[in-house]
Amino acid sequence: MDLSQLPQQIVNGLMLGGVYVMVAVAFTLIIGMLNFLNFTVPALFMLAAVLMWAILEGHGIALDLTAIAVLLVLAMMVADRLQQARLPASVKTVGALGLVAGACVFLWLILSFKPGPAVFAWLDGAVGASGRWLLGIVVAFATVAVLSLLIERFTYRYMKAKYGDATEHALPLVSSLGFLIVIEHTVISTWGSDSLTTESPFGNASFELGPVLFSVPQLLSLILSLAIVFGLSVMLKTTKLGRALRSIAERPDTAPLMGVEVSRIVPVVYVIAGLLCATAGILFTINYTTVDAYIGDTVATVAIAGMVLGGLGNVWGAIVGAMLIGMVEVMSIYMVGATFKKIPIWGLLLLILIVRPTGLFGHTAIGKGKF
Amino acid sequence: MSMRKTLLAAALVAAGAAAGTPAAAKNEIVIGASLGLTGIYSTIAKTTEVAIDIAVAEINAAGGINGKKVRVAKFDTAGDPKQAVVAVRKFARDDGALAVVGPFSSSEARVAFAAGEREKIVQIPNASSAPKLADKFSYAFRMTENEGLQFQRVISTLKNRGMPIGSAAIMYGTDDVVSKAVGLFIMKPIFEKNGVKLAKAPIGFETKAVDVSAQVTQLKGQKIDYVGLAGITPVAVRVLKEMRRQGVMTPIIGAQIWADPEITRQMAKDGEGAVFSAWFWYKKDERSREFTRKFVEGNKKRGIDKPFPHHVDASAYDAVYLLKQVMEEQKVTGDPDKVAEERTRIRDGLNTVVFNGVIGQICFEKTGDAQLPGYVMTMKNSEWVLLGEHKSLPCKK
Repeated sequence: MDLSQLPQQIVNGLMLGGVYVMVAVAFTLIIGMLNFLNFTVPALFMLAAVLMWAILEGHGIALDLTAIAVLLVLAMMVADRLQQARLPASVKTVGALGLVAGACVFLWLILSFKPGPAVFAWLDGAVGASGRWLLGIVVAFATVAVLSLLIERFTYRYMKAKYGDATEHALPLVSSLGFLIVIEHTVISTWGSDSLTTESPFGNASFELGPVLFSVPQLLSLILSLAIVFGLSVMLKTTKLGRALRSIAERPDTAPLMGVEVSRIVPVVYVIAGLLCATAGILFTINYTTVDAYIGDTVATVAIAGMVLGGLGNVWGAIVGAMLIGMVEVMSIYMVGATFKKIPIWGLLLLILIVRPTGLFGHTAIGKGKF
Repeated sequence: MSMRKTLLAAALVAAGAAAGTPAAAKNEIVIGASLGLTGIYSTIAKTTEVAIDIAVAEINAAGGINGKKVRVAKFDTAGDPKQAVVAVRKFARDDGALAVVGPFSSSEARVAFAAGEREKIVQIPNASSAPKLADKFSYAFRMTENEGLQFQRVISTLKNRGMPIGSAAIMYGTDDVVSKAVGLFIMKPIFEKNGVKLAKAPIGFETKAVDVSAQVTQLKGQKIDYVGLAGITPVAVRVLKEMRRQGVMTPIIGAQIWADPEITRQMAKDGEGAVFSAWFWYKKDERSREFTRKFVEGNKKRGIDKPFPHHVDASAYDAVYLLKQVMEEQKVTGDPDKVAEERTRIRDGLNTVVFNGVIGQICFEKTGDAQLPGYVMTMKNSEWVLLGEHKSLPCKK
């Protein structure tokens, strides 16, 4: 072991931990509020990363798919409103048929005319290829946000309406697994299973402090991740929404008595978790410039370990856990090699759970009977 | 029976009839194609399918095999070894196939070969190159080249051209059979045999690793001529990009694992000076160029953008023509009553055949592994440039 490499390896560990942070926080947010492990987190992270790549590389189909996703969710939301509206049944039927017909026409228009490439041509002409970065961020956020609403409906709301308690059943977990598989295979069917590479706008921008090389995009990503999670933490503590979220996390049965509209707050939790995943995915593409359909699985497995290590449902616990796991991973590779790297990571997790079953910063409120 | 049950029964019968593929008819010859069209090999398997379809279309346009049209029965294994077993059983029992092109990978071949041996049907994988997989089976023939031989050809070419290779480091995939074998048991001894000084112990990385910074840091400060890289294309690209990010500008050297046409785009300028080998060179002769033209066009029609064929695509294309030659030599009829006997005659024919395809000259050793040519390549301005050509070795019979 070459000790002169130690400072650089510590920086590598911190940067890798930064990749896991937001995914771990997304997991912990859902598990803290709703008490289930949401397997769509890796899918949304991967999707945002791949969409960012696709827009940067000018793949028009990414815009077409986004338009279809937005259409589906908008149609779903309008149908929802229609069902709840105080209207005669015949009007509701005509409205529903009109909605389906409108959605079909819109779908047909997208599939027939494939407007994506034309949008790229216009964008490149108007603002140059550099405009793709902004478009990529918008598309990734928009797609992930609307998909989060779709996922909320079929992993939580449907189960709650049908069984009265969404988490007494394994169904939310299984349906989130279903979404994971569908999203992964949509990406594989569209862009294949190979690596997808692009160029970073920062190139290989980096600076050296003594013997240690710092990558500018990685450092910015780490700072941005921590800032976003800090903002989230402040929001949870100080805002009305944060208080509502905490009340649901604490006592979901009492929260409605305190005026919290649970059915309106839960989708917000999904969207916040989704946007954290999208941010992580976008930053991943900028930093690593190589993505594929399986990065979500790889990152999420370790992020889950970080979340459990930090304590389920605790945002700052997830941050500390994820950073610690990143550091342990890098140090394991540095000291004993990649072959054995999983033993220290999962061994540490087991050890912590034996000594402190709630994780480093967890509490015992996480469990059954949340909904 | 109620109307509902009647409809259900009718639907089931119709579905069964639609799902079942008819066994071979008397006027056709059936070849199975075991493809991972979904799953981890899907990108390359889709182009392999294009190569097979081109060969079959050409053969049928020229009158078929022994006057009979060729039909390809396809099965999507999704890269799953268990499904590769199902595929070979289906080809043998349900489709009346005479031989199979595939399965694709070593992990699939490892289990499908045993199933094929029991069914007594030839299988010809086009990408499996892990050592010693076919030697225990008489119906297993792999149209791939030994990684060790190809890597030795790479080193010999560099020496012959006077390109300096005095020192190297090795990076390899720890969780992939072929990558590990190449890194630890092929590159290391071949470097040592050729007097190349190894800077330090081989550095491992996981094939699915998203971050390889810790491994690349270990290369920093090493004065080496090449980094021997043994890993499948996605992770090889990741390692290379991380090397460049950390300022390690040493070129990479490899055998065949990442000899993928896509590296021209994925590695781009970072791959400048990379040296590796492939068993197909698309500019070899007019026939190779013609196949390449049809291949690029065929993929384009299916919405796939490929600059030129991967050597495993060329293997799949040649495997169909190889079967044609053997079937003609063995006077195979495709008659459903003679299927078992003709499958064994195809196996016997493959043991002695010498075939010339778009790849070059092909024959099979007793181990079931082919002797193929080696084309040593380098990357220049994001293009493959030929450094040296090695003809196929003769087969020891």
